[in-house]
Amino acid sequence: MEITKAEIREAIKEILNEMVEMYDLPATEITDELLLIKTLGFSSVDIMHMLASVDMRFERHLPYDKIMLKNDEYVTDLRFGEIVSFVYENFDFGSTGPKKMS
Amino acid sequence: MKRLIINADDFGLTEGVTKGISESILKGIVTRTSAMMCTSGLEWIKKYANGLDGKIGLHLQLTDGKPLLPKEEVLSLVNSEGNFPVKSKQLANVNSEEIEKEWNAQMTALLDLGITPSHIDTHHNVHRFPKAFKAYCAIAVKYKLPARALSPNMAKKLDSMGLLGSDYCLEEWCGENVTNTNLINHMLNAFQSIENNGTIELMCHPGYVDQNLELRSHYLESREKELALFLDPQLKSLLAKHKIELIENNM
Repeated sequence: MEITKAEIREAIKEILNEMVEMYDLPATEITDELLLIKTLGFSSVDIMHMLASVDMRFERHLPYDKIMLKNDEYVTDLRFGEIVSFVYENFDFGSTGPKKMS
Repeated sequence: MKRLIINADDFGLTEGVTKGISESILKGIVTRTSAMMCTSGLEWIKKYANGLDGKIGLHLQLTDGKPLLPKEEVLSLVNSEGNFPVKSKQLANVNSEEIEKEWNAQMTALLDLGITPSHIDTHHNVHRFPKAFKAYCAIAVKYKLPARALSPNMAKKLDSMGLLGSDYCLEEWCGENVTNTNLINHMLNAFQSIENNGTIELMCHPGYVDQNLELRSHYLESREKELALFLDPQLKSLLAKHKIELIENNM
């Protein structure tokens, strides 16, 4: 499946906006530098839920442990741009995920 | 004040599970359960609901069963056989409106059994997905029912609608070293995270293993271990020692 980084960015932005709206978080401009916990007000659980939604959107199961762990330590926050790059770079390595619905 | 709801998920999954949950409430310290409408277990729910008035909620499903609405009305939720996917990770591009319609049908099915639900939650906690959470809130508002929160932001949102089921749902204990000590430690950590003031919900899965369960679940022996634990009077004493009050609902 051919997909561009811009398409991935838009899809993840849409998921983030849905979550911002769903939790009544203050509207924030989503840039690559946006920190999900510090700036957006997410918890680590919200990040896991967001990544699950990314998997659902792209029908993939991506190896997120690679982005959550750096130098054998769990990261304390993630930038929007980091997630976009990670999904783009790992897109073809994620096992096929959700079953196609009819 | 430390208040604890112990909710047994999966009422109706199989007869053994349903019987075990009923016992865990009637003879043990489990405070309530949530019932599944999309299994073949409605007879078991009727059979084992005696004595559980006000203690049964609705375990809304998008996985592990068959929708109540015709396949054509919920195309984004089903596979080619017309079933929900088995696991939540198999859900793909679900439609919020279809979820809400299906969940309304599940609510009607529970009411038709003569059960007035005490709360709502979801099987496999699928309301973590934004599209499902939207429908989840709509159902909670429509029926004015407290709802399980899975994150602090979700708790804030439900609280703003006056429908918060608990401040924190302890999801991670299930099946992991099922002992009194381990459970109490998990609970105390959870209460610390809300500064020992508020309501924690412990999500659990007690039950008896039967043939039907072996065919559809990987969570087997741990259900019987959980059941034994919740029937053990020592656990009740430990909760009292730590001044943890058992409650059925937060509202």
